[in-house]
Amino acid sequence: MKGIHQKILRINLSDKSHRLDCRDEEFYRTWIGGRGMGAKIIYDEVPVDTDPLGPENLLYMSGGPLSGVYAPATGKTSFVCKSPATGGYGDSNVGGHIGPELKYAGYDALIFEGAAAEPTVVVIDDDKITFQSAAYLWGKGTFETEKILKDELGDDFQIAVIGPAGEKLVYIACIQHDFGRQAGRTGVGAVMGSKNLKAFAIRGSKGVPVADAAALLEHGKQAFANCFAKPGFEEWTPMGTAGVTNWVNEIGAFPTRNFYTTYFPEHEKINGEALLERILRTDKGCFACPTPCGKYSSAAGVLKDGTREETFQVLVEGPEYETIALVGGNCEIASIEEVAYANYVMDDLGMDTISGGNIVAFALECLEKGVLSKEQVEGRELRFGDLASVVYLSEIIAKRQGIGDILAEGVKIAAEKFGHNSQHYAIHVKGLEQSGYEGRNAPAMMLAFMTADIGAHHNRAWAITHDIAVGVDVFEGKPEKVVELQHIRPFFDQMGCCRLQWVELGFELENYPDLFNIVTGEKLTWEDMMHISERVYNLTRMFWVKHMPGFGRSWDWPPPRMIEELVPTGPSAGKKISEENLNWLLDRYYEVRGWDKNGIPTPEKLEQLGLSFCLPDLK
Amino acid sequence: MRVITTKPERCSGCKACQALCALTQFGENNLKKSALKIIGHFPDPGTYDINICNQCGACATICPVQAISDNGDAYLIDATACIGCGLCVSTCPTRSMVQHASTVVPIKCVSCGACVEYCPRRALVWQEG
Amino acid sequence: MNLTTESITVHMGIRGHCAEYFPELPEEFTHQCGVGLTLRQVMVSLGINPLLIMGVVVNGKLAKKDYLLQEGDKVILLSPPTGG
Repeated sequence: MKGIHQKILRINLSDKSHRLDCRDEEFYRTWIGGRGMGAKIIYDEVPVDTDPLGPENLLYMSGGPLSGVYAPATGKTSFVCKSPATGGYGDSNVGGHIGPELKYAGYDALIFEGAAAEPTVVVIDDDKITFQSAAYLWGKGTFETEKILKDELGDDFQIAVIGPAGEKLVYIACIQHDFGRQAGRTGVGAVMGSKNLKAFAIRGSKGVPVADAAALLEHGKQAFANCFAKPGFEEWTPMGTAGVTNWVNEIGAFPTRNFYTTYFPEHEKINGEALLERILRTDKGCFACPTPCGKYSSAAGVLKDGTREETFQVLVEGPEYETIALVGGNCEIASIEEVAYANYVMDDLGMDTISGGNIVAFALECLEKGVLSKEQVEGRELRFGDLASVVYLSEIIAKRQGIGDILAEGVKIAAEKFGHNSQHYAIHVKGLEQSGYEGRNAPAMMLAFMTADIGAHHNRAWAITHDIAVGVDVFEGKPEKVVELQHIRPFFDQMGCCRLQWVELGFELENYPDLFNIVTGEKLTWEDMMHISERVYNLTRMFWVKHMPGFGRSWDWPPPRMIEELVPTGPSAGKKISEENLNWLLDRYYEVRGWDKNGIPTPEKLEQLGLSFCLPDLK
Repeated sequence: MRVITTKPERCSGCKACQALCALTQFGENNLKKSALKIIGHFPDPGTYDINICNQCGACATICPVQAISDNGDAYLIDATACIGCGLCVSTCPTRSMVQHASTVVPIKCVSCGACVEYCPRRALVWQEG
Repeated sequence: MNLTTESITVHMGIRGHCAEYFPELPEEFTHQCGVGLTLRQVMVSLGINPLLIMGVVVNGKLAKKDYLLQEGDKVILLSPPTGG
């Protein structure tokens, strides 16, 4: 099999050693790469009862066989670990150029094991691995850290860093790469911090072995030409993901005021047009991307903190849609410059803007409802719609100061500690804060959040358009659609490429087996790929079963607000989702998946998917 | 001469051109063997440089063994004559020539135009006239 | 209601990935409709669910769905992302 080196680089931070883990081709055929291989490795190697922030946890990174090859948008890379945010299976993907660089250096995957005694930078220069002190970088923000390393090592190194949030083991810490791309979710940055790994840098000169280079040249060019010719190519790129802001408001699914409502009346101040007209500096593409959604912005404004006023001027990649939704709508920040500034602050601190926006909004609601007192926030008047409040809370969370020490562990744990009914303001599934779509008037999207294998994240199945197309009051057929999408979308994270060309342009799925087979020399059909993807989805489910005592149906339940409170305003006003409907959705979903009524894969299902090794963990 | 010129303000830094260049010239998927190079300047000012040969011929002038000559479309390296001294690489005014560890002969733009045709941003264009 | 024979011609294009949810319309077509109609009304008359249109470009500029159509307008309808 080509497209791979059959080499996984394992770096042990405890004793500063490294070794190659060479697997047979069958391993790659079974798990492909990216999150698939990662799920298998952590399933096998991370023992039950492992503290996600202990040295026994692994931090794995890999793109996949298509990573770094000449085909549209082959720059995606997955991080996989046991998640500190949820305690269950965790992964997070990032674009940019670091996944391809790892392939050029001759490795299919990178695994960090153990923990360094002192803050460390690992430099991977082809076969040469060096460990350097990161003492002089510790405490610095992500932007400064990456810039210092770029200047020291050279422009041709690709670098991943953590910020203060990762150092302080904040459960929503991200890993940042390329000055603005983040593996944001599930606390992968905290795992990196727990290993005392401030940064790693990669440079490779070896390229990717390809089964049929001549065919790749022709098909690669053809694939790009197809993307250029797609109706929508010219229209999609300018605003990037921010372009969906108006639409999500129009359909009444935009998280607003800690998911209190689903329509933000001031959304036109933070939408794609605002980004384009007011702050955009340049597009910033991931590797080989024909439709770069990355927007690099320059935003200026005034930060009013009580009686103090300070001007700000920042350069930041974004804000992209999720940040606009969770920091904009959900914290009611009604200015694109201010959303960009909050985006910059969270990026520099090294925290996920999705969970970050959620936790800030949760804290603001707790203050409003009297769960938290003014004294707990140093006597400050914090409120929705106030940039200084967002910045203050972000900083105390990232640095674990005062009440921030509890908020740093996410809304689920914070609500358990705060009590006073605050779980009603905690918007998460399985402990992962929900991303930027509301499900009270979109049952397929709701089910997608409930059953996503890392918690309430949108990128396992982005089913909301299906809700609108077939009707928001229709339930029939939606569990089937969610399962179908949960196999398609995550498969991109096994191949090592981005899904947006399919999602946005309609670049046909049939292109992917063609490209995959040209690169690898295999003969996979799309059906084979979906079978592999289903295998991985069941394995990640089994990771939860294995690691979380009592795991089952109740873990798939959405936040109480979705069931108990009617959407008060906007196009979805008067809507909520009933327990009866939720139970119907889950019953049908489990049936389609071949899981039992409690949401546990059946032995037959596991055997059918080649997961017999999981059988002992069913007990 | 077929000269490629650049519009860096259009570039998104995706480097598809680099991967395509190496695949076209060498049949290898290795953007480190590309005859052009994209360099991002981040976080400030947030711009890209596109280093690509402008067929100025400085390499031909400096070459101690006259291995580089003008074929009408571009300056090309005669691999049989090249001694791999690297003088052309170090003096290239556009900093677009590279010497890769796997080859003696430096890598230089042959003006094939693949990057012009397939840049998603049209950041590479043929020079007029 | 005052029936009128007056009509205008507009050029319509549909872009994006929602095609599976649209009626059988070509990617580009010319459409004749009455005077004084909004784009939203015309979409409905063509069987297009306006909620499956994410954005509208009229004569090269972003516009609202309640835009009042004029003779000769070039309209592009952008569908939201889907499928994933």
